Amino acid sequence: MAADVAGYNTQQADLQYRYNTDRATNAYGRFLSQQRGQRTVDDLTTSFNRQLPDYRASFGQRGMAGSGINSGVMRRSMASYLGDYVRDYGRAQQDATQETQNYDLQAAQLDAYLNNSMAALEQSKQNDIANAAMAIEALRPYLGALGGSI
Amino acid sequence: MAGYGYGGGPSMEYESPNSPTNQLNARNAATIAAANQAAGYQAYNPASFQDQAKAQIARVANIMAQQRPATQTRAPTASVRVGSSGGSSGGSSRRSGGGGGGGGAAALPTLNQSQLDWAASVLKGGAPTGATATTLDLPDYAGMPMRAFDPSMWQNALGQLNQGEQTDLGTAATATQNMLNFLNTNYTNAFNNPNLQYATAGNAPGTTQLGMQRMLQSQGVNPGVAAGTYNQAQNADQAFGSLWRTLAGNEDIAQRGRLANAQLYGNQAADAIRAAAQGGRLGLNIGQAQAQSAWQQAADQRAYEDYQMQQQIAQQEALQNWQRANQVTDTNQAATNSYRNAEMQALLGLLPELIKSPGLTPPSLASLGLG
Repeated sequence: MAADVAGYNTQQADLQYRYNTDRATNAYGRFLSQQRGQRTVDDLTTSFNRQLPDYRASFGQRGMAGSGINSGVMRRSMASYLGDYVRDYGRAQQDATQETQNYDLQAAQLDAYLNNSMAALEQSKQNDIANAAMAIEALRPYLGALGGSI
Repeated sequence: MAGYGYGGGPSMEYESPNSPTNQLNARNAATIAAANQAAGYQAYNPASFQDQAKAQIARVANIMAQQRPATQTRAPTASVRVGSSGGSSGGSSRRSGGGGGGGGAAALPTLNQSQLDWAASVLKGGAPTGATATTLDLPDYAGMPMRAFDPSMWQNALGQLNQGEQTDLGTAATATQNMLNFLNTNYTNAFNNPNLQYATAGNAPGTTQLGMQRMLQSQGVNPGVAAGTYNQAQNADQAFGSLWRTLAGNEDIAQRGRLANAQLYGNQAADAIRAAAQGGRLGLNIGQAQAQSAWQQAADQRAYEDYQMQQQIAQQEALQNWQRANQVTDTNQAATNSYRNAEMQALLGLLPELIKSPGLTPPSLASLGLG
């Protein structure tokens, strides 16, 4: 009896279908994640740009800024303020990047899973074909056809 | 009894010698004597009763001699007959008063030596010649040659099996190579894809690290205040990269495992094909050996039957020759015995002549073919 490879073909088709949907979903999630991260950092930048002039002007109102004035308080405050901003901005940027990396990781895993599954299915299919061929080979003396190929 | 009488013997009744009857008898006797003399016979001489007995024996012998087998030459009877004397003229009749017939009649001829030798030679010539048995020699038995054992059927099957094995091995090798090609062609390490290298700060959204440093410098702040954040980001990127490389290595290992399995299974398939073919060859060899054994048994049986047939023919031939030889011997013996009996009868017939002629030399056994 010849090997029935229809089941393997069906599994391969199902696997490919599942991969396609998962990969599309992942790509869409990655896009949304990237968009969210972009918004976060953009919002941080917008807020920072809006608050920075007022924050810097407050030092002038208190006489710690202006021509000829070099206030140590102002330098430390600005360093803390800008440092916090850079920190928050960097973390937001890192969060967005890591979230995107997570999607990329999932995409790569989907690719790897597809490759491995397809290879495994193909190997199982070929093994079944070979087993069927060897079974027919064992029956060949009884079928009266010693020569030729299967 | 009518041939002769008691010439001169006592008459049954008295009658005068000069009676007409006696005178007639006398004339008759004279006439008979004259006739016998004209025919060469001697006158009958009634010597004694023994002579008459001898003559009787000679007549019996003559008759017996005439009854011998046709192959035998009859002895001359003329010489055997005892000549009747002239006196028989008076005695040939039972009439009384016949006696006193004429004396002085001529004597009957006697057997001489040459006649006796001639008779012996004639008797010898009638001796049976022995038959000779001809030996029977039947043609030798030639058995039908048995057809030689023909292994071509198994050899053809063996050749086809070997051809099938090579074909199957080629098919298996091609299938294995196709599988390896499939694995190599379709394999892509998902974690080595350069298009997915997003785990770098350069790909992060928003302002880059260099831009952020310029902003800090423009505000009079040391760019080093963001070093901790940058280091964290770099560490995260490195960790992600390590994970990526680990997964990529794992993929390569899996791929090598698949390739190794495919090659191993191909080798197993080839081994299975060789084992199946070896089993087939073993079966064919066993079948051929069994058939050859059966053929050998048949050949041995045929040889045994041929041998038996040869022995039967030889025995039949010997038996026929033996029977024929005995039959010929019996026949020869019977013929010889019959001949000897006839010889004896003839010799008995000659006894009176031999007695009458003492000077004759009896024939020897050799001259009669009896020696």
